[in-house]
Amino acid sequence: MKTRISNLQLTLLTANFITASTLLVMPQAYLDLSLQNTWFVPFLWFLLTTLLITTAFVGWNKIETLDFQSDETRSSRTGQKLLAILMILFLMFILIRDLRAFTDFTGTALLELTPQPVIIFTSLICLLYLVWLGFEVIARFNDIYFSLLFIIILFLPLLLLNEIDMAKLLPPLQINAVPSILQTTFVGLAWVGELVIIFLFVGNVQPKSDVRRSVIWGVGLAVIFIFILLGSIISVLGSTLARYTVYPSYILVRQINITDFLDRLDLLVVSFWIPAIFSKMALTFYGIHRSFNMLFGTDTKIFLVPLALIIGFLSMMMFGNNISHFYFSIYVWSTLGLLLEILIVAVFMWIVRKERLAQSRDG
Amino acid sequence: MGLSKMKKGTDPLTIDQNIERNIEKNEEFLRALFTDSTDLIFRTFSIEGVKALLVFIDGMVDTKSIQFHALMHMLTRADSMQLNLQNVKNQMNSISSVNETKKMKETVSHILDGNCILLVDRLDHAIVFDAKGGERRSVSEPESEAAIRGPREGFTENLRVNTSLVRRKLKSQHLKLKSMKLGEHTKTSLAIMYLEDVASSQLVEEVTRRLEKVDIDGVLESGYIEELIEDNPWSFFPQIQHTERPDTVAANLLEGRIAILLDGTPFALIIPTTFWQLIQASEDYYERFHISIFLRWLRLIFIAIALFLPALYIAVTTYHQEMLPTSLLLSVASSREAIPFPALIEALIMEISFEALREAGVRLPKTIGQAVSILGALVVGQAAVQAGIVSAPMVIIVSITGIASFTIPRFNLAISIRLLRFPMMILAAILGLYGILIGLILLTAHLCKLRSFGVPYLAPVAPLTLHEMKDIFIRVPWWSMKYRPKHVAGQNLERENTQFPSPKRTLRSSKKSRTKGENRK
Repeated sequence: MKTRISNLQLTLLTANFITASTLLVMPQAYLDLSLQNTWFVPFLWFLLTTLLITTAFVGWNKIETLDFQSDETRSSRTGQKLLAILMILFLMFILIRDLRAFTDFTGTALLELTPQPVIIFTSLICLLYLVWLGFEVIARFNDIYFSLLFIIILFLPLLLLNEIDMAKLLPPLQINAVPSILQTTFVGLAWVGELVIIFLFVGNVQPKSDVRRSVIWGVGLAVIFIFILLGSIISVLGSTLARYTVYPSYILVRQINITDFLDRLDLLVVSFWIPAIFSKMALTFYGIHRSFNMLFGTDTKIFLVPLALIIGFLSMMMFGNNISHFYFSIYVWSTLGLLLEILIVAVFMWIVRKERLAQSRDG
Repeated sequence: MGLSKMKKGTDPLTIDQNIERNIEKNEEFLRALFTDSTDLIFRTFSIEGVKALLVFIDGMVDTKSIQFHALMHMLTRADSMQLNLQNVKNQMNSISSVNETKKMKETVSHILDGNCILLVDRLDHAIVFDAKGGERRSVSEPESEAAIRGPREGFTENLRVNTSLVRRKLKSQHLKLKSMKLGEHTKTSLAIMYLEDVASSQLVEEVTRRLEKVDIDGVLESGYIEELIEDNPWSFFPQIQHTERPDTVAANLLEGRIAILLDGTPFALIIPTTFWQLIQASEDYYERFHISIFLRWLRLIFIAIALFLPALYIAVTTYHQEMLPTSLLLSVASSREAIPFPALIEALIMEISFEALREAGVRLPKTIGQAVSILGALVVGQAAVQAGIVSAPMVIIVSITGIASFTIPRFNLAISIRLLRFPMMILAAILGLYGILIGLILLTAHLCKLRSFGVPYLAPVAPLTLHEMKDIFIRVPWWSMKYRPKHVAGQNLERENTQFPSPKRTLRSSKKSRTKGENRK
């Protein structure tokens, strides 16, 4: 049976893929660069990403289908294999990085005494189960948890109303802030550009014609999400404090207190955020699995268990400590990730063009 | 062929034997077949010198009906007409439903179904009088689904009574009823009911196909069917709803679902089922929508409490003490100080004790069962606290959890939640709040995977369909429920076209029509 998802599910998958791990690791880096003007940067990401998506989907509506899982796709096998190799490289980096980020955060906020390998391998068991169940299940899982997380983030300013100080947003958007804003835009572009994973799944979306609009909507939702979060961090914590905080989003949530009794709602919010990041990691893992199947022309789940073990070991061994992990996430990934994304977009456009030519030749 | 000539071990019902013209042979065959069945009655009589035989099972037929509408007629009116099949069938009785058969196998089947068979010498047909009777339970209020507002009739063990209860609700020519028999020995009758102009034909075919594949010796309850045709038999969660209420069946048929009614049980099955149906009660649709919304949210919160509260208590007291406000923390710490067991063991002791008490209360007679459950809970809880085995907060947690599980309208979902509490508690003890989250993720993934006859179990929440959320977390007013749920109904999605109820609109529309009428004059 062909897996099918709706355009709304694609929107939510895109939005979650952009935001889930970004809001954990990256706010500190963004705030360090552009201080109180960081809230403006998401709009630049939106413009650039919309341009990227619009370019990537040129000619999309002229093709009948582009399902990498089926044999109906008549486009170049070389192109598909190249896309698969790039995706494997790209997604492996993302998954290893995100898994390590999640493990470090859990070790800090929830389980200080539990060894890191225990957290990694219990998370991998969970991810393995999710991926085993298939793409439709991941999409449905994401529908639930991203929607809940989004609603909570929308209410975040309301919950923090007594802590917000608008003076911390001043001075806004001065001319000498432009270079720092552009720097932040560059650093964050690779993170936002991770949405290119959806190129693997566009063939599974019904109806096909609304795919581009759904992805842009997803980016829009993600931008609103990040804007609210960054705006709240700046207005509650202030950029001076937040730039020296490892997890400013977590510290922000810890400021929520509704009377003296309900002042530990951070763990409740984290309870909604953790499934959302699992959804992202599951989609990444599934993307790697699908890429392997595309590369070898198979339709098997045999790769999953050894892949999970490899990813688990790499996430422990690739980064010696948290600092090297942050260095990779902020400095290395901003260039490496962007390069891989551009290559993926280029290969995808090539595949779409080949498919269009093949279909017009046959038609 | 006589029975004595059959090979040992041959089931006589598999032999395709016709009714003989010689009544003696037929009688001999039936007597041999039903040896040692003393409830089988053979009533021999003669019609104008011709031997006739009535065969029926005592206790399963309405003997008065046979006496006055069959036997008396045949004995008094036979002299005025020729003794042939048509006359016997059409003129010599006043039974409402009369059939005929040539096959011995069908004849035996009719006898076992509770019909009365008439055999006449020189006729090669058996006449079947549908005069079922016997003592059955009358229609009463369903015990498992009591309601404050709404109809108080429930299904009984008689299939015809049950189908008639549904027919009284849905007086439509589109209401279809397909019959089937299941079970080699029980030959249990079942009826598949659906609205032809609403239900998907593919769904009807799929249900019929799965039922036809059932090959079992006996079906005593609809629970057998449920396990034999569901999509995921290993899952804790029910994928088929069962109900004792005809109004629930009718409401679900109107949404495009299919009902399976079984003879011998008052529990009807409804297919397909989603998770959200199992937290709805029939009263949600009879009371005002504000109350329904409140009650639904209450149930959702209490489902979460029933599933997570003991686990949360274990996680917080073991790993995340900083979550508790200081005063509460000191209170919990002081009550747990003298307890020799860790929080997990304490919770397991109490939970298992309460489950045992609950189960014992079900088995005891109603008059003392409830009292024993309550007293047992209070006494055991109090004694355990005083003995220093468990702490007082734990008794409160377990009590609230028990009460929370009672708020779930469907027992099959409530028991699934009760079972899943225990793995959650173990995960909480191992990994704290992170363990609970792992459990939640695995549980949600499992629910996302489940389907009920092709319909995703969490639809329309996952996959998210915004315009169908009007009857999930809230219940919109009836004048706003214009469409049937698309994930269930195969066709004819529009269910109503009622305007918003308002005296202003009614007055305005009546003024308009009056003005139009005057202009025409």
